[in-house]
Amino acid sequence: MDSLSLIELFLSALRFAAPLILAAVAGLYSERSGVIQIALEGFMLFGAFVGATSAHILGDGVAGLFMASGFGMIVGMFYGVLVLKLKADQIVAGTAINMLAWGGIPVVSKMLFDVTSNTPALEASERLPNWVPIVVALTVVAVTYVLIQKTSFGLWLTVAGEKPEALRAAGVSPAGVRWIALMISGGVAALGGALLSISLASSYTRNMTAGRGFMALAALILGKWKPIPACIACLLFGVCEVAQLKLQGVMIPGFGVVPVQLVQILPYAITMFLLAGVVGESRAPAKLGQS
Amino acid sequence: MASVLIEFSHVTKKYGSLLANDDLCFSVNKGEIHALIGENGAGKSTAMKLLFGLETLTSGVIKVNGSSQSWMSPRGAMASGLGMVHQHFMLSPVHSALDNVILGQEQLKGHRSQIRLFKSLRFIDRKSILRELQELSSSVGFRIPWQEPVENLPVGIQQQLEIAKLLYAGVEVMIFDEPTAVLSPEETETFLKMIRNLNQTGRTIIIITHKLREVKSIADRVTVLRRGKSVCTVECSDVTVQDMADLMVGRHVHLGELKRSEKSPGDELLYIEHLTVEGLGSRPTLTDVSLSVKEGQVVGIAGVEGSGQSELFDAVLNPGRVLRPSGMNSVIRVLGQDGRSLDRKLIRQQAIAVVPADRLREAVLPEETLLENELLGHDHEFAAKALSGYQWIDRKKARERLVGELKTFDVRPPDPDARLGGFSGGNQQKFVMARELSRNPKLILCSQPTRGVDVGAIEQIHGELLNRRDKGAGILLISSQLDELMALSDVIHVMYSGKIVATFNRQDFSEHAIGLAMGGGGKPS
Amino acid sequence: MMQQLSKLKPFLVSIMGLALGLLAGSLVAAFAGENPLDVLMIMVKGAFGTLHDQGMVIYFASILIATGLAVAIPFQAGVFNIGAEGQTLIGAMACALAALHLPQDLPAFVAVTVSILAAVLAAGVWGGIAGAIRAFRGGHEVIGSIMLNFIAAGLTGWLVVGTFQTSDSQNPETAAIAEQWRLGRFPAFDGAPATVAILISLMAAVIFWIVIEKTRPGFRLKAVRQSPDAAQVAGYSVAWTRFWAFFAGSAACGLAAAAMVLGEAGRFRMEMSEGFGFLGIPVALLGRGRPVGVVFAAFLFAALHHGASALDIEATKVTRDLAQVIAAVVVIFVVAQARFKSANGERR
Repeated sequence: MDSLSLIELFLSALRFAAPLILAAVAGLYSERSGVIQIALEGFMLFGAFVGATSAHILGDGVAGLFMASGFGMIVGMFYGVLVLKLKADQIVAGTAINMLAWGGIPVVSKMLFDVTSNTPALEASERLPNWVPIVVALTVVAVTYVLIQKTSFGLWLTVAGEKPEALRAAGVSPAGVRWIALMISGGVAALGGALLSISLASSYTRNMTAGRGFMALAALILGKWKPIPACIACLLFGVCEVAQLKLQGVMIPGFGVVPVQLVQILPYAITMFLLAGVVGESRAPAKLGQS
Repeated sequence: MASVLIEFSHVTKKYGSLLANDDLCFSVNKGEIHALIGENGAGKSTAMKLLFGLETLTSGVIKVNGSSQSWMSPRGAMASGLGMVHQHFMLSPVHSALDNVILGQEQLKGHRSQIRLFKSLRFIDRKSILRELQELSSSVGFRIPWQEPVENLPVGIQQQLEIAKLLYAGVEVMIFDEPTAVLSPEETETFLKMIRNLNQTGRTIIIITHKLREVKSIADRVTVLRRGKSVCTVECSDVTVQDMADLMVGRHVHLGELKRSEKSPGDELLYIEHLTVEGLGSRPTLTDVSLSVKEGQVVGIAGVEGSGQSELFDAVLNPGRVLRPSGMNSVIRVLGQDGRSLDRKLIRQQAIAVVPADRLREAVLPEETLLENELLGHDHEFAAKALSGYQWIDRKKARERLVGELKTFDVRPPDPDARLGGFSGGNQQKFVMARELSRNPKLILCSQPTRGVDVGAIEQIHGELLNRRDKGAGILLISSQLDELMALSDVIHVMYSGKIVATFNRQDFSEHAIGLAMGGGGKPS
Repeated sequence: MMQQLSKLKPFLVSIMGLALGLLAGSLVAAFAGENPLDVLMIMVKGAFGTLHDQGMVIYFASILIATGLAVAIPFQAGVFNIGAEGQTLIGAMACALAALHLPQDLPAFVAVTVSILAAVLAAGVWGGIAGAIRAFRGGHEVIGSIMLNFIAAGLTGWLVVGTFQTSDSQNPETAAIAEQWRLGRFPAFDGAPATVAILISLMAAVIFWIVIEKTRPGFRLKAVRQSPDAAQVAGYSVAWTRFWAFFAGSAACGLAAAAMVLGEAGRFRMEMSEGFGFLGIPVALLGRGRPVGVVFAAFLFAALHHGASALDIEATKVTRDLAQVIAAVVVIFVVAQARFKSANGERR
């Protein structure tokens, strides 16, 4: 393979990985602040739906991105109400958000477009060009890295997840930091979902995130809750998705045509593998889940 | 005439029907070292929470520098020159020492939280803060490796870091909550010296403690709290340690020796030789630990917390697991059986009582009733036969047994259906003792048996342990309280960073020598 | 009096949650431009209108009791199984394959029992993978079990499209299982697939009750959920307890699978679990993780599910997805009210 197509391959892997990267970063904000984030899948679905719908109605993909992340922030705050205000179990509450997305979106979709399974296809002008997901994802990773390494807020965020008492003693409310973290988390994950429906595809289709929220969480854990390693872990899934597209329908001598269903399993199987192998060893924020 | 800096007058704090502070009156003078003493639950920490604005007064006034306290958070207190070093350090273990100080500075930037949030997005100038800190710490003689994560620092250095935080913030009044609880006697000496230095440079010091000898050696004045009330404030030079103890408890306390019969040790119950266990993560590695516990013998393990005591405890609880990977020459024999073939489950089915250090986390299910807690670790005793083996629980039998235990050990209230979490610390511990000791164990593994327990219950628990010893049980006693170890033990082993560094027989017990060994110092043989 | 009240509280929370869910559903329906009362009536009539409908509710209940137990049993040990969907699929595939490949001269009772056991075992092993990763490796069981859902869908899809697809049909499904090897339908329900599966599911709930109330393994589950450290000191193996709880919960999905394969479809169909696995979550939560609660909640959601399917035909603006919204609201309410405690926070 010549170097040009290698670069192409890399870029398309990065493009496919972009929504996942955003979701992983979204999870990072939440989990570094001490709140388990199982609801990424739901945030992404909401983002994908609101993004595609707004882009369709407003006729502008960028507007779609903004609407999606705005709505994501609201859902993130709602998750905050459940786990910070009402002290609900974080895993179960996160699952509840996911269920709301699985069940609620088709209902709204039916109201708006009279079909439950997808939004109207976006015009080429309403979609975002190929480079957008890459730029958005890398920007968010870079900003997050700087925020955590260089600013006071970053220090607050990480101390909230490690030793909230110390933060409180310093006169900063850990709960307040977590509220903001969850809001960012919802917004960023929804942005990832919106890129999926506005740029990688041309409409929202039912459950189009297909478990990416959970894979992002696995990537985050694999990346030891740090932005750049998590981003690289996501890239692995991006490569996997590209491979999936290339492998479909390929003849392998002595085996026959590679079946679609088996190729589709690939990213999930890799996630399982990582979960069993490496992930168990990494060290979580000390107070994760105890807020 | 010294000027009054902090004044509590008629301060009352109610939590529901509980009076945590009841008409509390005392004052602290500028420039003095003031000790606040009292038993668990006497209201010391509530008083400090009120001072720092963490709780609001029910009635009364607290005045600082003549004007009444108005802040609602530690931030306001800091701004007025008050700072506190908590018993459990407020340090984030994975962050660097530097970042922990920077965190402490956030309170000074702006007042409204919105403004602070906005400002928090500015970059931290770590370089210049580091320079300032290095100057500051060299002026007071601290040696803090600023870039190192806090978890890698020894406790003594962590405490210096906490003090450096206050100094950097320009705090004038420093409050220490049980500052020497986690220090070795040697580190304690250093700490007390440091306190005197800080005091001499004009800072007012308040120490909350129950270690009366330290109070005697350092404080100018002492305020005694009992059941939420201030009993009195006295000049430290006017009272003896015995006086202070009596004032604290409200009756004459027996500080002398407990009654114990002369007994020569019998058969070997627990035998450990050359035990080496690799420490996981930040836990210390046990190296070449050898000891034995015989019938009628109390074997004490002294040491600063984190010197390998809990690893030793875990090793005895699950010998099979630690012996398998650790080579051929490690030996653990429990009640005559080779530890290699014993796992957790089998250990618990022997005549062994287990009283772990962290009661609420390791010994009980706080949300459950006493009856359910009676089953914890002992369900096999109430097993009834059913279709496939003994998998049923006979709760009726457990209840009968429990009622008897509660009576013998005077657990109050003796209600098998009451939720365990609702009991006081002393009664919880008495319940655990009842559950573990009433089965006539041959070997008792017991760690921090009187932590968080009031004086009355301590006497009872100590009496019960000695009683078991006199009846022929062997006891492995881990404690961070040197006086407890010296009162109960026949032999004391001192642990330091995973090794036994010194061993003392009862006739050679000396607080000074044991203390020295706890700090890793000389080893008298 | 207070004590009686506090005992009633979980019950009241569940009722309130359900009421709130229905209210939310009505609001959504009103928002969509339907008359909420009409929608409610359609759902009630859809669920109970005919004997056949009632039979369908019983059929769905037999599935939902099983998938509800799949969530409730691991929760007893503080682990959260959201993989019932995939576990049911794998169980269904195993059930169908067993029934199709057993020697034809076996007595019906034996064949049916073996097929059910195959389903139970396969589902248990499948979920057990996520349970084992959690228990012994510390990898998050929620991620694990949801990944297994996708893998199960792909795997069974591949098998049914490729190797085992029947030649009689264009659809991705296996050949039909012999009539005499299916579960008997109660004749009273007008041909609806209300079968003995409901009795099997109820029996599973009873066994669950006995285990947690009366036995030592049940006590160990409780100890591990409430305090893994205390359980450890008490000599219980936290890892194995969690694993077996996960395994047993997953195995319950085998019963759901058998109800579908042997009771209704008579074969394996692609993606035949249709979200029943996920519905197990609200069932378990509304039932507060208790056996009796799970049974009641399963019947409720079965009625809701079947009633809502009538909306596809009789309502124009809302679809059966309304039931999902109601379920989600119920979960959110119950979760916000009740102090459910999973073993989060201590994973490393």
